[in-house]
Amino acid sequence: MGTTVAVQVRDLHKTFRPIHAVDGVSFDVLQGEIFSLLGPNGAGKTTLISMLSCLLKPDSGDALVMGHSISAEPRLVKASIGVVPQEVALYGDLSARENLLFWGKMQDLRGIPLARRVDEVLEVIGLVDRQKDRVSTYSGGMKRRVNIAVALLHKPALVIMDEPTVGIDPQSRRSILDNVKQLRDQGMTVLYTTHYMEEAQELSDHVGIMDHGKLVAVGTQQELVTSVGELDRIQLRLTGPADGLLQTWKGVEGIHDVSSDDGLITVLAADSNRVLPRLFETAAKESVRITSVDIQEPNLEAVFLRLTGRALRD
Amino acid sequence: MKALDIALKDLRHSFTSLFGLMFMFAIPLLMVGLFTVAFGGTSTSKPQAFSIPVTKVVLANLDAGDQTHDLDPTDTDPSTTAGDILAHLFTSDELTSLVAVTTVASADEARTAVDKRMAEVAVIIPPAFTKACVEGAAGGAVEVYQDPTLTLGPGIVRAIISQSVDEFTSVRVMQATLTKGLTTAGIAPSPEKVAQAVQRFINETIKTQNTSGSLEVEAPPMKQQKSASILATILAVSMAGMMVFYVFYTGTAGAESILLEQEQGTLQRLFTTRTAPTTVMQGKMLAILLTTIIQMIVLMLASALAFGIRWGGILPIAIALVSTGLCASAFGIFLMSFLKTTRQAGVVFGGVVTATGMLALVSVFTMSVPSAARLGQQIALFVPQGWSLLAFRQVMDGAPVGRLLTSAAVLLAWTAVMFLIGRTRMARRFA
Repeated sequence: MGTTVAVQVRDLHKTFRPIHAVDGVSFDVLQGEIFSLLGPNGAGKTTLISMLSCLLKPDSGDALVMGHSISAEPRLVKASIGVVPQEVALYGDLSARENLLFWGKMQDLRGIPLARRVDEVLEVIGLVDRQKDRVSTYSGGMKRRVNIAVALLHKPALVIMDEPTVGIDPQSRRSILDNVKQLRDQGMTVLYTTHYMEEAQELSDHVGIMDHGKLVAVGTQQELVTSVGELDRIQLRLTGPADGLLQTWKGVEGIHDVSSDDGLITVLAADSNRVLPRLFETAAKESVRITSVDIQEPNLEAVFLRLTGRALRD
Repeated sequence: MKALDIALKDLRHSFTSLFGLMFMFAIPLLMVGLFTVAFGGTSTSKPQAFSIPVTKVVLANLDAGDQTHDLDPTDTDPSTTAGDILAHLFTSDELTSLVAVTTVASADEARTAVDKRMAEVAVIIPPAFTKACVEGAAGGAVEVYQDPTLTLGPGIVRAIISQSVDEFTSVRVMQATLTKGLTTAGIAPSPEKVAQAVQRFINETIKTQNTSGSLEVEAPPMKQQKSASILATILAVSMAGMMVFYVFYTGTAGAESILLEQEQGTLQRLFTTRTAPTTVMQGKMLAILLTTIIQMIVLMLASALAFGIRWGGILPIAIALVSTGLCASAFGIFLMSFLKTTRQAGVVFGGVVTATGMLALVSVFTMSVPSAARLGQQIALFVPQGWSLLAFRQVMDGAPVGRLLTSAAVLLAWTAVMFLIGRTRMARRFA
């Protein structure tokens, strides 16, 4: 991940009366990173990337993609991006190879270079054996892989992916997530939208959280967690009565709260790694054995909940 | 180049769709086929084929011949009679398509065959037929005994007999004239030389007959020909009407692919590539234009082969064809620009395309009613299909290119207006 900015979004607005689909969004995406836009359905993610893909004109504001304005220089922007739409956008009556050849031509590739590039991407998505079959005969996961391959043909500097894993099997999903990481490893910048918290956590260097058309938070995962003041949750089970021990734990530095519910002790701490040895130490002094420990670090789901007052899947 | 890539992709889609092929080619041809059957068969604008049934003839050759005259010196049989020659003519290969001859031994037998309807005509060659032919003796008339309800078959038989008898008579007259001429000139006529001269005449006559045919069956009388010509015109214009009607359907269906691609997301994806939106629309338009032109060419060739329709010269056809193709394409883009989904397209097909197409066809439906034909043609010109049909009618009528160019210019004006409106409305949907 470099420090050069690949995408600069400044105060973008888009209204579909009466809905403010995108409401004053601003953020930067660094070159070579995976930037995830996380938010529930209807948050405005697709509208935002439609504007970045030059499919929609913003009502106001602008964005620079690889230094080119989406409003003033759409042709230059289009030359530097590869878009993976949310729905599979392929010609079902053509084979995977024919689709790739066609889309390659639309990106100004021709002849032998195009044929070679098609061979390469077919290899990457693992569809060499079925390249001559009609796309309409493919499984959902295979179609998704071809859908991604189309966006990579011209080796774009920025790949924009709009929820590329919706509605597919776990195996294909795994494959796609691995592909996305490979793209970053190859130096491409990836702008990835999702409403799956797990994907954003696994992939992202930076995350932008969107809700109701607004970007409610942006940063690394750690920054986001810290910004909302979320604590690690440590859940323990003990042998024997431990009322005295719980009082002792409440006094340990770094522990914010200790509670007990039906034998399950919950400890809230700023940093579980620092607190945990002290918990074992004090328990041993009071001859209480800890039989199980479960650490739950705060995640983006918790951040979203804290920021919007509702869960991602609401 | 990219526009061509888009067009080829769309063409492939169009021509691999069974439904599309049915609509483009099978249904228009089927409709005209049904018209052809309804109008009772042939619809050619060529002179109508003419066929008559074979007449059953029973022939009794009672000719006794003439001992002093062998009518065929070339054969070894010295007793060839004029009756033999006439009988041979009736059974010759040339006449098998007109008469089927059975020979009997007696006149009564021949008449009985007609009475019992086993034959339609009886030809009875009398015993003095040769003498009558050679010497002009009385009692040599050939009797034609016929079914009184028939006219055509007996007429043909009489014609054959008359032609044959005329030739015998001309030979006799020639022989007499030659003999008299030689005698007058003080030359004793040699029977052999006279016979040779007559033979030469016969040979020349046979040659002439072989060239022109011994019996010609003429084309139908003028009234029938005129009626056949009207039928052919109606069917030709019906075919043109059907073609125009379905070509505009094809234009609209082709433009529907824009909506279909929009629903599939491929259109939006095209707009995110380096390909300019204008190029995408050009590719779409090119695909529709090529599809309609291919459709028209196939329909013209098929209808020319199947129904004998003569479409006209290549240049006029090309003018009408290209202007119609352009107009049908723009018509489709214009209509689709008002729609957002392919579901709405069903209403357009059922309503607008059919209604405007039917308005154009009013000129076809009214063409055989003189009082309504003019009004029908005027109504048709309110829609682009009407101008297209007018152009094809002008091509078929062999109208001057100037008049055709006027129709083509109106079609191109329709094209320009509809394309500009359609393109502007489409462009508003995307950045």
